[in-house]
Amino acid sequence: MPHRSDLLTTALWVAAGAVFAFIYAPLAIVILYSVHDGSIIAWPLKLGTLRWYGVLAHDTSLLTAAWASLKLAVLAVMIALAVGVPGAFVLDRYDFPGKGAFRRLVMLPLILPGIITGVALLSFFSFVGLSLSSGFPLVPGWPVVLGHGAALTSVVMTQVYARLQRFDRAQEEASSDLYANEWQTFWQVTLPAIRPAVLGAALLVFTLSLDEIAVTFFLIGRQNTLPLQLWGLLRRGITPEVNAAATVIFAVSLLTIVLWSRMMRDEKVSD
Amino acid sequence: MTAIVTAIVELHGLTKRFGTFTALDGISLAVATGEFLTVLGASGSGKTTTLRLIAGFDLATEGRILIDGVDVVALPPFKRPVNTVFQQYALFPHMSVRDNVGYGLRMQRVPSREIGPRVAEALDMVQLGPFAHRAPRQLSGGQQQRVALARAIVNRPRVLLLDEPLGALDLKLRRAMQLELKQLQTQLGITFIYVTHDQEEALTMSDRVALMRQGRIEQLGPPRELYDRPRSRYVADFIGETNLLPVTVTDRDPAVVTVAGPAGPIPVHVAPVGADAPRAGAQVWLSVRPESLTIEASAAPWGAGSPGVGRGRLNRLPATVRDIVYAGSVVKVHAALADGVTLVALRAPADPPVATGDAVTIGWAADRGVLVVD
Repeated sequence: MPHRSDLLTTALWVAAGAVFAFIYAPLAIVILYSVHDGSIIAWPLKLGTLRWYGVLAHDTSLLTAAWASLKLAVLAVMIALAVGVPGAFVLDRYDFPGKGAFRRLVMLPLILPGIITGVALLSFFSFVGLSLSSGFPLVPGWPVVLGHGAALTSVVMTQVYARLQRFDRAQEEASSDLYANEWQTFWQVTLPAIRPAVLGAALLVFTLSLDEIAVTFFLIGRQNTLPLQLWGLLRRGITPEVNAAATVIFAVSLLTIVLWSRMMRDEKVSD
Repeated sequence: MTAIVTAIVELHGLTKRFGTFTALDGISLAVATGEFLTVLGASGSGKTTTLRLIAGFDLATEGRILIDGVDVVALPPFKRPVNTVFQQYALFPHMSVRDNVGYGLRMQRVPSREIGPRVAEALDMVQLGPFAHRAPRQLSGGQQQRVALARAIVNRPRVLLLDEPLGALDLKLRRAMQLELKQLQTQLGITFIYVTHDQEEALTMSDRVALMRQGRIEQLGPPRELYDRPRSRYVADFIGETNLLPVTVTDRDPAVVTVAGPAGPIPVHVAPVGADAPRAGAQVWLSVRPESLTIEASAAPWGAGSPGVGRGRLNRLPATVRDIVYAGSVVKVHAALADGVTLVALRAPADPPVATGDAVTIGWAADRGVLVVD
């Protein structure tokens, strides 16, 4: 006779399985389609070819777009770190009028729909007269670089600020008590304490920038980013090549997220 | 005064205000070289503020701090010849025990061939030699405390500041560490300025105790002086346990006060008072320690012992036993006087037994009673 808690356990497993299927089944299908041997996707699938990855590797427009996305993401990370880390220190250490309001405003680009941020940045750049293609081909365009940087600075600021709030300032006092000046204390004690948060936030910004569409759509100039290029391809139908590209992006994102969560775990240990 | 000549730390009118709150209200203090001085007080009394001002973590609003004759008020912490042991240790979590201890030497650019042996010596001193490679989080609280201590003494400071260093340890470990700290201080000859709220710790370890209250020093002296001759009711109450009786001064020489009795005031003799003692007629408090009180089951004559018998004179008051608490080595007897004031007396378990509700006589030697003002 099955025990009541056995039934309950089974029900829970079924429910959990359903939730996971709901979230991950589409991903699995994309991956399956990417190794399907045939230019038209139709069941039954003939699995086991990597030729779409070969096609992908020779598609110059997609590769150029991927290279543009990569440059964009790296620059967005640099801007977000350059503004976000000092900003987090200011929020943590100094009192100024309107500080509470400022802290909430910093979060705004994360909360606002991308379309609003995109429209706002577009009208700003046309107001200051910065062409959307300026900087091309060195960068995909300065407006989109600045736009990603501005929208994602809040990620760095909130992550580093949260870490600083939990940091025991007595460590800095101990350092200065042990003959270290302000710079030595920063490099030897404070930076190692916030390093996991800084690296984690950088990875997060990198991933977010890599697959950002809404803000990018408004600010992009002559050169498409990878997500926009894929979106353009999709209008002509879902090809196995698109599935292969999506699988590659998924793998890169997964790797970044795994790295990020490992860093967060290391931080917990060192607390 | 010799104490001033050999003073290593001098505070002159030191004041610290945070906004409108005065944390430290113009304290002056001279700490002798090699002395173990405890700054004792309740939370908010200004004891930690005092320490932070000496270390340089906070800036004084007013006043001067001299270390070895040099005014350090304008110097940042890393230029002051003192080291600190922090309450929560504040070890660097990303460094090994060895790197934590060597930090101060590295920052002072001590040649690296000297750093190794000095770190090893300091770790041996706190019996942590085998733990040099560990990370702080792999150590117990007591071991982390020792690392913090080693990290400070490895720099051979003239003055060591300790901010409730044993506060996070359990009672047994704390007692052991008290002895160890005291031995280390004697052995190294370093001046200790030790902040604590634990009066027992202060009595056990210190050469002198400064009891702080509301940003001022309420009384400064050797532990025994604070215990036996408290200057105020606050001191008597804070240091150890005491019984406080409301009394009226009748005479100053010999000192006699009266206690309310069932049939009018009863005169009792007290310890000789100084020139600043309260005048006749003043309402003050008589402090008698529980271990100075005796309980007699028999009814004895009340009042002050006959004059002229000297310091053996015994005061006697009628009382009723309210409660008896057995505490192993001692028995605590709570007895109420006629006016309702309850006194606590310590007795040995072997003393003649008394029971709750018994009418008894409470007695104490006249010189064990100290007059204190509010």
